[in-house]
Amino acid sequence: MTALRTARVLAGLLAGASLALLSVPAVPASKDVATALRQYEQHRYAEAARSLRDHIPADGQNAQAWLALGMIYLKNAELHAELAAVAVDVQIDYLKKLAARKGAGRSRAVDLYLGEALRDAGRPREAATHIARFRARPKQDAGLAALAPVSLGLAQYQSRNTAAARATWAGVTSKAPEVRAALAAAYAISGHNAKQAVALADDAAAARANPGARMVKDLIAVYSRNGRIDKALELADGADLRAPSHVEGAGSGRVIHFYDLALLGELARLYAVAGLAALERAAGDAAIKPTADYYLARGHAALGELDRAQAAAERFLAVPDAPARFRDLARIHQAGLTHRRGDTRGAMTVWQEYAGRGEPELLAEVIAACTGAGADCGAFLTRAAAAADAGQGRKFAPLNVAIGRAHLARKDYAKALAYLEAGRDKSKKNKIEGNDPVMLVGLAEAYYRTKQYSENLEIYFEMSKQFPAVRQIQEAMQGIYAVEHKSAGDVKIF
Amino acid sequence: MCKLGCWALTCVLLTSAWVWAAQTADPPAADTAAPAGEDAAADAAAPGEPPAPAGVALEYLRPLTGIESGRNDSNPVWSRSGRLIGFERSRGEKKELLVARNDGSIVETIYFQLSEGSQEPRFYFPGVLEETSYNAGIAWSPDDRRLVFMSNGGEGNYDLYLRELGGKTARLTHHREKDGHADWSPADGRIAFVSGRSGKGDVYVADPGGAPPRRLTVADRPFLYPQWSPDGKRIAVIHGANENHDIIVIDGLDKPQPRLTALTTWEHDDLRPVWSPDGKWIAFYSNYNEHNDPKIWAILVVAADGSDPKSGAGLAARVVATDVVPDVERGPAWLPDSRRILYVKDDRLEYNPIRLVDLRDGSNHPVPTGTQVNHDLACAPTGEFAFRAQVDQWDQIFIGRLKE
Amino acid sequence: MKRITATILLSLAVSATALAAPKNDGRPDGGSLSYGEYGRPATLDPITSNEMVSLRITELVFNGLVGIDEKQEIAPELAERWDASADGRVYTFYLRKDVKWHARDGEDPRPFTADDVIFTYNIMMHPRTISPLKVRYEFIDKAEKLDDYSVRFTLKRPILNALAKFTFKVIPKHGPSNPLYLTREDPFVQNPIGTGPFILRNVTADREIILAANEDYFKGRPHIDKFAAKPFADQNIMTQAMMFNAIDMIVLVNPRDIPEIQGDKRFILQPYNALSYSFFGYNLRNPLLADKRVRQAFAYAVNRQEMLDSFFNSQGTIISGPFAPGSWAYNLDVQPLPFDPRKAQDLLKEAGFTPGADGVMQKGGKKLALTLKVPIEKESEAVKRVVLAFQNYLKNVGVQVKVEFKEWQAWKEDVFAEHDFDAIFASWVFDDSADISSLFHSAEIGAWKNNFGGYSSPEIDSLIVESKLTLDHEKRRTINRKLHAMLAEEAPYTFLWTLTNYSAYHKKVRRVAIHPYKFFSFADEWFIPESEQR
Repeated sequence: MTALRTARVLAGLLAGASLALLSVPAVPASKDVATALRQYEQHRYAEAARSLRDHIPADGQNAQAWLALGMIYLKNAELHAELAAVAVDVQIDYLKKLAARKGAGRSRAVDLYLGEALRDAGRPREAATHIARFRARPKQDAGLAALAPVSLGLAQYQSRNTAAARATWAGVTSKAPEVRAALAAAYAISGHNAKQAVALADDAAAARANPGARMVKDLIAVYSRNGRIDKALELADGADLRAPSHVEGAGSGRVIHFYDLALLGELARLYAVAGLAALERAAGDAAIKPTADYYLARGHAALGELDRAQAAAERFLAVPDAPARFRDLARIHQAGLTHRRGDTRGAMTVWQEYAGRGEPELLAEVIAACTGAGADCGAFLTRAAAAADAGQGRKFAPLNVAIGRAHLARKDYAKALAYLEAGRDKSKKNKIEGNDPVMLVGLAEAYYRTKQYSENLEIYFEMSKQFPAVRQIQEAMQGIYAVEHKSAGDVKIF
Repeated sequence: MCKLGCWALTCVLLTSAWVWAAQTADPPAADTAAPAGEDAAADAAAPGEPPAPAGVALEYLRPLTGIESGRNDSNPVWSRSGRLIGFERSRGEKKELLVARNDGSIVETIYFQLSEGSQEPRFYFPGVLEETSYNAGIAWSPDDRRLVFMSNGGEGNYDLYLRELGGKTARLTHHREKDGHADWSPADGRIAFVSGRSGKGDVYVADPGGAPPRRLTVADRPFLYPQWSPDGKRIAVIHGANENHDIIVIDGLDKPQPRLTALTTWEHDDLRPVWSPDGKWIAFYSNYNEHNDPKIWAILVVAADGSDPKSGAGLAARVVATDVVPDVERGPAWLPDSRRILYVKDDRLEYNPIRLVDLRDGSNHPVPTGTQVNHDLACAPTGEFAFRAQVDQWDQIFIGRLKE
Repeated sequence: MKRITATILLSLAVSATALAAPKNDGRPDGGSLSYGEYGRPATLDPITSNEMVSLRITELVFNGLVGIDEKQEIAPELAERWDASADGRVYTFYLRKDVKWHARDGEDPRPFTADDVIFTYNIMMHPRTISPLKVRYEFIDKAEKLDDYSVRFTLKRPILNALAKFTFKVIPKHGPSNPLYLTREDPFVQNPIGTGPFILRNVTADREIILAANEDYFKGRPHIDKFAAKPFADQNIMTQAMMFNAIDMIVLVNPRDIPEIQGDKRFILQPYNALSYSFFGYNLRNPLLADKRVRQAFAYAVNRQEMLDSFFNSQGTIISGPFAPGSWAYNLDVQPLPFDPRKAQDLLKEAGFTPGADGVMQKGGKKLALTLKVPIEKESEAVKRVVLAFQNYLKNVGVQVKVEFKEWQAWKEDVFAEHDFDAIFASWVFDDSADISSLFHSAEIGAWKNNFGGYSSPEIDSLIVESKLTLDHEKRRTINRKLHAMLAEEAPYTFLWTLTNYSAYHKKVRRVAIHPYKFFSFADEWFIPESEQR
């Protein structure tokens, strides 16, 4: 499964869930954990994870710390998965506009990046065509030209043309660290020559002290799939996630920044596996285990590991004194697993039971789980909309957000916009301290779909202060807006 | 002399400035003029120089609590005895209430949330269910031990709540439309407030005893900001719409049909009536001015018994201060002698300085607080006054006392 | 002249036969909506009006030849289609034949024709018409009637996205009493008729402006029966009026009232962003301000985030250069300068200033003392606070600031004609093109031109020209990124922030889409469910 596809599943499954930590009153959280959780509440995930990781060895309350770290990573995974899912369409929209230009001024790199974006979007045949077009043009950038066959191989692999993929990769002769890292990533993703992937990646990493964005993405892909999570996290923390993968025309009057779409998906995958690893360690403590299981169920489900997810959910539900509210949430989520296993009726029964209670938090969870499972949520949406319209205050914000995201998934962008706006904390508007960035990504998408680009850009402008990897979406969105606007150049002082 | 019907402010000020009829209950006469007008003191100063002190000095002035960045304090409200002061504190979207002694020590902080006391097991809900509560509009009980305030309890519906100092918070009203603008009778336990339950703003009176609130006003336009008279027998309120509100006094509160008397009826916007401590006068903001500019405000003082003119030149002659910053949450601030009013002047270059108008001779004096962007003046029965001012970009509450 | 006409857009959004009908979109008609404005409109016509309160009314009453739809696309309005010549200089508009002017009392409605378009253009451009629009339409060479339902505009030169300029509102030839030019004395400006979704019915004794649904509106009758614009003299009272149901909507909420409104579930707070930003602009004709280190020092001296948090309740974004962050032209690599008063002092010293005995920086016997001019029209509590803060911040680094508040026209004369100022506090608002060329090109220095500070740089000039000439969007982006970085470094302004506007309205009003500048552009689509109409 590519990182992007993983990301999409992640996005659906973690969406809108009321993540909760069962506090253990007898063992109060240590200062470091409390600080990290405060940062988590303010959606400053990178800071929270970093500060906690730095302190875990010295902390006597390790299980709590691992639990908190697991939660933080899972939430960051959810966000990056959302970003990856949105970035696909934005990037393709932008790159197609670039590619549409004819003549001497046409970008040279655009076919490669468009091909890769289409591949990440699950359209490998179109991808292969564009990559081939890139390769066919003379005088391409040597670095990109060397990478192109690796990329093409991945498209072939995705088209289930494994033999062609192997042949293409076998023809790669470049020893450049970037190419070796790309090849390692292709091996890790496809499973072909998987054993060589780590060694190749290590060699490449050793040969390049300051890897570029593309190489970072490739190394993360390798390490996160091979249990080298710390190494992958170190790379992610140390890299400039704003940096473009390729700059065309640097120093000239026309500079185009190209980004690796897959970076966002790889980050999402990395944070998900890091979260699961942390939760597994937390689960070693009997007092923390039920809470850890609660989250493990979500994390495994997000990665498509349904059996493990089911097992964790059952372990949590078997705890006799598990708090009622979290049992409810876990059951609703578990119904999503049931649905994905093909038992639609079973899932619907559970969701109907909870939706019938009319409680906003449960309704929000039902909508999120149902949407995440790709089920028909129409009836729940109607009920939820009535509750949200009559509802009071911030307590209903998560319900509005869940409904908005469901409409987004149904491509009803006007409704998505209305509900997400209703769930947005206006006093902090774009500030991630006041609004879940996952919600903001959804809202930004609704604005993009309705061509309100400046609203979209304002959201990402604030978000980029905490999540630098959104730069690629900002840049692409600016490119789209530059082409799409129809204004005449009016300016007025006031 | 002004001809009949002359409304021009200059005319009023230069030729018929109203002088307070000191020591008498008679309504002031517009033609008992003395040559003292607006900015009498400031006018004596040479251009470009600060105005010379004109009989107003400060015994002291200090920030109520420590100067701090990152929050804005506002709306100081003295308790009836003047021993305590309540005020509002905004941090981002949250608004909490604080009660302090006049030495600045905090008695308590009120951040009311309806979910308080929930029997749910203690769970940590990171970033999902934190409610933002908005609390404002303090009014004190006569005995200083309780206060009433407006809150949404973090749940999106404004109602009134009673707070026993050091004790619990109890709900006073419960309706899906807004309840607010509460004022506690100085005489007893009755609380006047405005509710939207009638479909617009109307004045109701509630008794903390629990009887249903009683509606006092019925009209097609809203009533806002009720204020009890010091004897608790009447209520002043504004009534109207858009940019034309009038001052109304409600009396006969114990009768089935309370009587409403308009103190103003002209086309100008008259806002936020405040009773003089002796109950004889009512001061309010009005956007009456010679330029007919709706955003230029004055303070007028009229007899509370309704004997003053209700419009025209007669009412215009009741202007006691011009170019005023209207703070409708508080209103003009009477000093305890019922003869002087503190207010904020809309002076751009001095950034809203505080002024004192002495109604006995119409004189107008700078109050040398040295503070800027002042607002929300309020006087205690002890003679202390409080206000907010901008310090290093954030609003702080100051308290002070004039030297007598 | 041989001219190849290329029909570039012939899509008919609305059938020409679809007049005087309900919208038939399944949404109910009926109900009324009253909205609060802080202030009164001076005039109600689209030619002489100059403030937002009026602009919002004219948006309800009038139409342009074309409009901008909710998706930001140019859409047909009074013109059902148009042609543009290949050289971009000639635009021919084919008018709808089913449009009627609002009827005056006792009269039948008259048809809208090409004469009205030509009349509007001529009266707008007449030297004796006082209109802020005139300068925007100087690019038009001539307007001609071809027949009753087609008009032709010839441009002096092709301009980018010229179609968007033809959104100007058309007024009836039979409207103004003076057929040549329009002044604020003409009865028409207080009692206008248009073609738009709402008809001006009357202005009440309380100065409420009452507008009724135009049953004959060519896009279909608007859903809401009545709009009432209600003026308020105090913003706090306006907020309370909405919270106690006296009005249904506030078009622009005072930032300090946002938390209270947000705390009430009955209301929706809807953000709408204009591409605008606030700034302190400097007069580079003053030799002390000609040194960029001095201007940079000012930027380091002020704590912009603190001002934004305290005075505007954090409702905005700090910017680093001459574009709004929501624009496509913003250079994301340029970070706002941090608040660093020490660095500010170092820069001033580097520029040759030393502190005098009074603490004020001096150089060559001249004190670093500025006159800051602020238009009164802009004055609000928040502006007063910003100006005071600026004064204090600069005082802390040894710069004296004297503030002068001026009437709007006098301020404009001082700034744009006389250039008699050292610094100003103001805001620019842009359309989506984010075009800053008139702000910083040296050819724009001069009386009544936008480069009021006299900023001149050959490099900036050449970048601006290059940006204007290219049709390559990526090249234009590249140039704008450079412009952003260079102007941030040059600091002809201290770039401050972009503020977010909020409208607040009762939940009963549905399908509310708001145009970022004109506000009511889509109000004919708004509706109120029958159960909530009152």
